[in-house]
Amino acid sequence: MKTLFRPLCLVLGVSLALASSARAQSPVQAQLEIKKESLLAAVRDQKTKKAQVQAVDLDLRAAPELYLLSIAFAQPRGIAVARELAKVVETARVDKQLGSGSSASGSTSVTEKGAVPEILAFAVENGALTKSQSGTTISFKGNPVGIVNSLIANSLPPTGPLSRLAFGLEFDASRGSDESQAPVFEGDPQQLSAFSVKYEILNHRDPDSRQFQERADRLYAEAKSGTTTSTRAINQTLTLYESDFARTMLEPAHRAAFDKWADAAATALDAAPEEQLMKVLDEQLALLPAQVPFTTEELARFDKYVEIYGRLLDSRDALLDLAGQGAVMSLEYVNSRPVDQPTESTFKWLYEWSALDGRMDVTANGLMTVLNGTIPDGTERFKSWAIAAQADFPLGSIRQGRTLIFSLSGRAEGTVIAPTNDRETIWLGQAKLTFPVKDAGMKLPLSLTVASRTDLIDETVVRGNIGLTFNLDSLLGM
Amino acid sequence: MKIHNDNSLDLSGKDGEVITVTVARSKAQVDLLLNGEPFEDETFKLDKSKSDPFFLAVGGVFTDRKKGEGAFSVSLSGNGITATRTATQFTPKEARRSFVFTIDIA
Repeated sequence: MKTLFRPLCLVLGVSLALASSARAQSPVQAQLEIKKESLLAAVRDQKTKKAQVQAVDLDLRAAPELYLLSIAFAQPRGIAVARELAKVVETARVDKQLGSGSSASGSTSVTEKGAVPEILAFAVENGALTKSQSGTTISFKGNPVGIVNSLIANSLPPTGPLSRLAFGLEFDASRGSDESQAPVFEGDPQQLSAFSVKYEILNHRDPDSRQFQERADRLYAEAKSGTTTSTRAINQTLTLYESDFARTMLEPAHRAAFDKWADAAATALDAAPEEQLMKVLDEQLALLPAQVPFTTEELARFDKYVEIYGRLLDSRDALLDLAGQGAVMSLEYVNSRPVDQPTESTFKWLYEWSALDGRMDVTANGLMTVLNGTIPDGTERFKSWAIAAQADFPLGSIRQGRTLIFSLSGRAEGTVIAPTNDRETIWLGQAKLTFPVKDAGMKLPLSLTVASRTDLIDETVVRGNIGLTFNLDSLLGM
Repeated sequence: MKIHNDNSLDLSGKDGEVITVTVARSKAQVDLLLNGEPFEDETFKLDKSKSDPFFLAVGGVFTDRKKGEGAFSVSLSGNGITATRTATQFTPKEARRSFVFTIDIA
């Protein structure tokens, strides 16, 4: 098993290194960088064809966003530009099960999410929900196709049936340690407490799905609330700025200066070696505001353009978040390996959907567990069943776009209680706060659980659990 | 209609000429503004008394942030000539793309 753990760490390390190479930028700045890369792709294409880079390749009508944003960010800071530069890119999703399953010894989850990670998720959680013995569970959930894909430069997210398959490994770090010692994760075979396979049967949150695009079409022209405008209205305003910009720049006062700049910039790009292209483009764009005599009013409009562009990105994110709140349904098989007991097979059904216009995410689970192999006489093969439901409420941004999530969940579990072998139903209720951690794809779930009893003790139990989950998908912007 | 400098955004047409607009899109939403006003029709007539040149601005919002497969294209046709401009999402993180047709009136 140590040989299994090491490749996992290697994959995690390599993927982290790839992810950390991305530079933090404000959302609008990130769009500007994409416009520059897009222009340079066209320049490289010209060079590949042995054709000279010409002023027409820098036509402002083809890329008004590039010039408007470049000029705005090159100018002394207007209010909108300064505000924009203070932002960081962040996303918040609540539909991925990153931590261990609900029955693991250190789980903080009563209900499990349906979506599978696209690359790799890692979690450490401490505590226990329905068991008298607490422990520390370290879980890895990965998508084999996604992991291979993440190691290939510039690859797009994988598609096809295999991309919906995920595996999971759970290690109970408290195994093999003295009770007096802190749990140590060794990746030892005896610490492997479960392995699992999960398959996403349907995912209407996938942009590829017809349901997603139909919702996006409908939501595009709708305002998100009574106090906001639609994404369409904001896009039309941006397009108007771009139309006005093209009109202004084609007037004699600006056209001659822009054409002169474009000639010089095209010559510089044509002469630049491949590795210097971005540097040369940055230098040339920095010269533009000095060479074209923009009025104070025009400069103010560039600043305003950045503000509206930021609103468009926010509105588009909200639109896609809403469009992405369709149903997700998965099936999962878990093979658990309790200490000194027969192994168990658990079959899970996981379903998730959105309610209250996206203000609440609802998850429902059903599962049953049977004992594997030869079992002692008098022992029932059917061990337990459980149903669970959870509602997640994003509480809004706590800082720089990071969303605090409040969750309420309940679970009923019918199980055989040792040593009498009587069947009992255990009831659980849980409140959980999940704190996002800045720019790291990490979340900190903090939960309080009340159980009607545990597997050994017929008394109400109140437990606090804390965990740490890490989702590589967030770092890679998936 | 004529295309200048092999640039599909640099156009000219005769006063009174009718231009047909065709929009195609996939995983994208597209808005058009003709001389600063929202344009949702299929044709417009060049009219020197209204504007010269005519500006048809196109702003497209990509609705795929996973694989970056958003794309849209706008074609202007007149007098047997068609000028087409296509925007293909450059990366999954690209949110939007715009371009502006100008049509000088002869």
